[in-house]
Amino acid sequence: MEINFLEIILYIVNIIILFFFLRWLLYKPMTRFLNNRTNEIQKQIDEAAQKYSDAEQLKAKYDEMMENAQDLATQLINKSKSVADEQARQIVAEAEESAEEIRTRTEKHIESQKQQAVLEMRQEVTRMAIQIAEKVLQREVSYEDNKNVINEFFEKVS
Amino acid sequence: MDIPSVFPDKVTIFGGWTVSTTLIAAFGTTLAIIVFGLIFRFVILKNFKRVPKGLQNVMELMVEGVNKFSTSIMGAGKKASSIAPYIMTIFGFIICSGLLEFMGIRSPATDLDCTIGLALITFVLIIAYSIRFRGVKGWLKTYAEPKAFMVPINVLSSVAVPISLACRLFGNMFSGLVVMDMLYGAMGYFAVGVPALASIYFILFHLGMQSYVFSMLTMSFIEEKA
Amino acid sequence: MDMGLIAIGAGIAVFTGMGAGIGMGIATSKACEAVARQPEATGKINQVLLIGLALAESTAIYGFVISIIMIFTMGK
Repeated sequence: MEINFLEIILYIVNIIILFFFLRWLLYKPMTRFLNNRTNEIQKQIDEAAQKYSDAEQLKAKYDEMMENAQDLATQLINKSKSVADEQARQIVAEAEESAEEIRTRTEKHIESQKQQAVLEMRQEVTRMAIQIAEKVLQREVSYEDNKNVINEFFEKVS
Repeated sequence: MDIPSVFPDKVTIFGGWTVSTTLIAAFGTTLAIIVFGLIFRFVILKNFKRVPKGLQNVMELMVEGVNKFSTSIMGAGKKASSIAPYIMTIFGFIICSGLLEFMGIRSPATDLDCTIGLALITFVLIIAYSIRFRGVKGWLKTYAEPKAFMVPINVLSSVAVPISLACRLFGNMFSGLVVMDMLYGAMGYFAVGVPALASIYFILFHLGMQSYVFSMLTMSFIEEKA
Repeated sequence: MDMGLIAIGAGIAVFTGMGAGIGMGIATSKACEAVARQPEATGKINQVLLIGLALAESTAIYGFVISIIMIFTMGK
């Protein structure tokens, strides 16, 4: 029975060499590689979650904006409608006013024309009456007399 | 029919040196693993993608398996991450050198010197971790647990650890070798097929089982003391 | 030393295998019961059983190692 101590030590040296080489060549690079990948994937997942929440927020904001826009639109329409109504009323009123004015003016004009016509007619009739009277009487009657007679006549008539 | 000797054959190399064949096999295994490691580190690792495939899968499985194995026994932390490369070394060495048996080369694990060497490393590691995580006083105090008069028993049991580890690994590997040799001897010229099936159990299964048990016991002894 | 006495000693040393066999049988029977009671835990039970068997087997292995060493070292 013999245990060879030199060989035991050589085996131990062998294992130690293998240990350091394996750690340097296989374990550490692989661990670094795996950790890198884990971190990368974790980062991507985090980023995705971040983006999702951002999108969610944006969507909520847009929804709110859309609702506001609808309100704004109805408000705008109401306002413009009221403005248009106001304008229409104004225009109608103006038109009525101007029509009224035109009517009164026309009436006035007609009145004055009528008066003028009456006046002219009166003069004409006077003159014609004098002529008729001259022709009928064929006599010397003073103008003053005629005038008096005719005036009397008119006073009776009117 | 001759049973293989407990002591492996001796050969003389470099003139005067007389070493056993298993030692040469052990160094050859180490060299092969280192060459593979160099190729892996400087050629294969550069081509690794984010989506694993082929060899990358195997390597990832290996490293992650070792990490998971060590954390399942020693808990997540510095202890597990520092012991993991050593566990990987034990696995790699025992399994790779054990596979030499398929080529007719005697595995180093069937040499008592080799298993004693491995067990001594474990013995030193137990003490080193104990001192590292408890201090010298804490380490000495572990021998006086639970009472002071238990010191001789504790010392005896701590010395028994490497002996039992060495004998367990050696015995299992060597019994497999002996059974295979007996099978070959018994079947004589009709040894076709059946020894191959038997060798799957006696070499592959024993190899995986024993390297697993060895590393698990190493870690649980360290965890117990540290 | 007389080779016959060594052989008898080696045979007695290998008797440790009897205890190991009984122990392994008990462990396996308990594992069977456990699997029957909780089939969903088969994987975990298998793992524990295999480790337990490997540890129990090492008792037999110690006897084997001692007998082999006896034969090889004393017989010379």
